[in-house]
Amino acid sequence: MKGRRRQRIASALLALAMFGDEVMGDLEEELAIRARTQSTLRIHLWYWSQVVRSIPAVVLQRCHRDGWFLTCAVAIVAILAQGAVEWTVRITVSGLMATSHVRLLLSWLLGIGSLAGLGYLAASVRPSASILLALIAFTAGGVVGFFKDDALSWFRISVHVVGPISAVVGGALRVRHGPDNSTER
Amino acid sequence: MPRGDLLGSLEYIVLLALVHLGEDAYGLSVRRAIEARTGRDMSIGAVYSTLERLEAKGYVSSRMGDVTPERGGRAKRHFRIEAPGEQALRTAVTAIRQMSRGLPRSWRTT
Repeated sequence: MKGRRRQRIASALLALAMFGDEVMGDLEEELAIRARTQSTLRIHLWYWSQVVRSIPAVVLQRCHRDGWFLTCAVAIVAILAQGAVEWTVRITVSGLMATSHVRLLLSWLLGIGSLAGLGYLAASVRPSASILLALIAFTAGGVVGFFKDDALSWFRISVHVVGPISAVVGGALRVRHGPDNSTER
Repeated sequence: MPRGDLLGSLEYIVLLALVHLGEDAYGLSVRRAIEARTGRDMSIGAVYSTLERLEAKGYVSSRMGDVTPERGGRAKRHFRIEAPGEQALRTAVTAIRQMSRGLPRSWRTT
């Protein structure tokens, strides 16, 4: 992976870090030192393990900085809004004269799109709220799936996986491209 | 000892690393010092999250260093321990020493 692309992905994954630039600089510095003695595969494994292992600490610290109560409140409001959107979409789509596959695809697209949009909106109130929204969506999807009798379908699995990811992506877009005026440093 | 003076284990280790490193303390050097002395492979994100928490408590302060090419044009952020941090660290060290005193032989490490 090219250096600039690698840095772009890593910095997007650590976008919630308060000292994001410093974290990226440290990773680059250590990478350059390790590159003198280690194989490319090994240094990249080290780099990405650092990035991935940093995410929980960065997210937890961000939730703490944003204020847990408000962050949770924003995430809960967002998931309730998502439920309302999904319910409205299902009612609307079921009334359409279309095949079941088209209805399913429409529900999928609107469900995923609304989660991404709500992730974006949640992140504009509290940047870490989109991560909590994704976690709630993932957990809720698992709980609903557990209590449903029908067999696992591609629809349920894909919504369960892609839905939370889209909420995180929506939030990351807001954090990276919008002004962060939700919290004070 | 008031509850607010108690340090978490990561905070304790990071503050000790800052004392060891002195002027040369920044995220990566703190991570290296902890790994060298304890064998603990902390993620760089965990180090900075702890430093951020300590700075919010007023235990450490930070200043930006120079931009260097090996860091992809990014500056280092140097950290130093402040008086309240020193006080909290001394309190924690004293508490641990006192609690360790009189432990059975099997608990002695040296």
